[in-house]
Amino acid sequence: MNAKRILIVDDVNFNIEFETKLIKNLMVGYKINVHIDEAGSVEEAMKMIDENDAYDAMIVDMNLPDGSGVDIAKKARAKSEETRLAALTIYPNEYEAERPYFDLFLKKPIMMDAFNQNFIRLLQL
Amino acid sequence: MGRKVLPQYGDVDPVTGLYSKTAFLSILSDQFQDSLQPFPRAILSMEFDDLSRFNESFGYEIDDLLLQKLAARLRTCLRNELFAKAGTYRFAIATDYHEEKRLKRLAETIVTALREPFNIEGTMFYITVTIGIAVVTESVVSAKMLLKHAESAMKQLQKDGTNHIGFFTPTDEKHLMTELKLLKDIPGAIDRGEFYLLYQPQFYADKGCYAGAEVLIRWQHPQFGEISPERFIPLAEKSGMIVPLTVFILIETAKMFKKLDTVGMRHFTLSVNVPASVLLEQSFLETVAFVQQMYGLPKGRVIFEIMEETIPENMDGFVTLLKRLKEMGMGIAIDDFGTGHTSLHYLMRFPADVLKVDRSFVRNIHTDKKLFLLFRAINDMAKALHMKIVAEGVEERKEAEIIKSFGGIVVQGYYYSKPIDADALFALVQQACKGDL
Repeated sequence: MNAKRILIVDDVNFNIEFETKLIKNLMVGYKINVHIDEAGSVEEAMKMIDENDAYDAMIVDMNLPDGSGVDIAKKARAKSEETRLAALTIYPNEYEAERPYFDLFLKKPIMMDAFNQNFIRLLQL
Repeated sequence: MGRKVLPQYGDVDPVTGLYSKTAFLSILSDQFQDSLQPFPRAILSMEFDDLSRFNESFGYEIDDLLLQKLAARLRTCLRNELFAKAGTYRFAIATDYHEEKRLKRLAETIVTALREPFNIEGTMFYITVTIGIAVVTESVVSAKMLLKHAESAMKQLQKDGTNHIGFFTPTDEKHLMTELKLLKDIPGAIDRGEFYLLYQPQFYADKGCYAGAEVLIRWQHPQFGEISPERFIPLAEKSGMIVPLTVFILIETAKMFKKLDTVGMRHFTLSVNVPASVLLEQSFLETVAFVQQMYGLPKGRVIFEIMEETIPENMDGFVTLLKRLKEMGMGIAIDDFGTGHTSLHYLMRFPADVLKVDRSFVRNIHTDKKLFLLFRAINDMAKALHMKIVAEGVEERKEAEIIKSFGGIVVQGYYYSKPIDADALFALVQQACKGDL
């Protein structure tokens, strides 16, 4: 079975849990094993990137308490060009300048259908 | 007034030949910023009361004829005002009048002109109209905003139901600004943890135990404080946020079941309000299946409450959908029963498990003989159709006693408990029913 390692960065537990369950549920259909790590802040995310092998994909909330999702994206990119990066935000239109750092922008609140479709695009399945 | 000719704006209502709303706004926008031609100075938004009923009763052809005659008669009240059809049964007039007295007189002329009935193919139609008026002020920056103000004043009049003519006031403006702010804030409010759940306990009168609770959503806004669901649910519906909000409630409800099981309330049911518009979303069944599988929604303990007045008239697809939900182990309740349009014929086809009888049939049942008889009839009918009854809004001991005397009824209301938070709900464990009802 194929396997993917994902990092979810969000300071809201409800979102981390929801995304984790959506991804796990979705990946069953693709026969892909997923390992999901969580980070609740920029600092935690940086640490996770440092301490682990490069992730296959990351979903980064743009409204974190201690800094910008862009810093996380830059660090992830520096570690590996292969990591696929998605930004998660309520206001995608307000992040024009940040677009180049991410492969995809996902909209909050999370809608099941749209999230699933975009996650498949993110993993390029 | 330098108005441009019709073809340049294209958009014309085919029935009345009037400008459409798009064309109306487009023409006004061109002239709005022009200091030499200050136009418009005011907009009147008018809607004909109950006109959709005529459509339902007499069909589109009569409807069209009536709209044509209405437009023609309205035209006789106007000088050179810009006149448009701004909605199905809504017209808009832009004028260079700006004194309140003259605007009011214009509106009164219209109301008077419509007093005489319309004769359409031998049938007399009596039409009443509501007119909201908005005058340009410094804070009005576009024609669209001016129209919105006029429409807002009109809707307020329709809600109040006392006057037919009214002006947009600074209070209305404040109200509208708040609505816009709330509309903007809803998407982020889940993230910020501003939505929370309360529980309205439901008491099984026969056994004297709590059978379940209705899940209620509340919004604590950082600026405006507690916002009532009557206010934010329509906004959530308008902005498409009702779907994620319902999913949030479902997920939190699933988590609540786990906690209820932990404290030993293993038979407790939770009822969740789901607007028909959400149920009809293509992905709704899939979403419920997802929440059931990934978070856990115990079969037989979740009840979806659907407000009677939101049930679609064309029930075929809807009934199929509800049957699928029932196959998944979800219960179905008709909420506010008795206030909407559910005919007895519908009720027979509707796969509901529970009828929630509206509070208007419960309040004062101990003093009003007619109410008592009506409630008894509803109870007999529900039993015959194998539906349970939940009586809403029980506030007095005497009401509770009478309802209890019918037997087999679940009651909710302030007499038993007001809505409570999760901790208070767990504290009911000793009084919770021990088996299925």
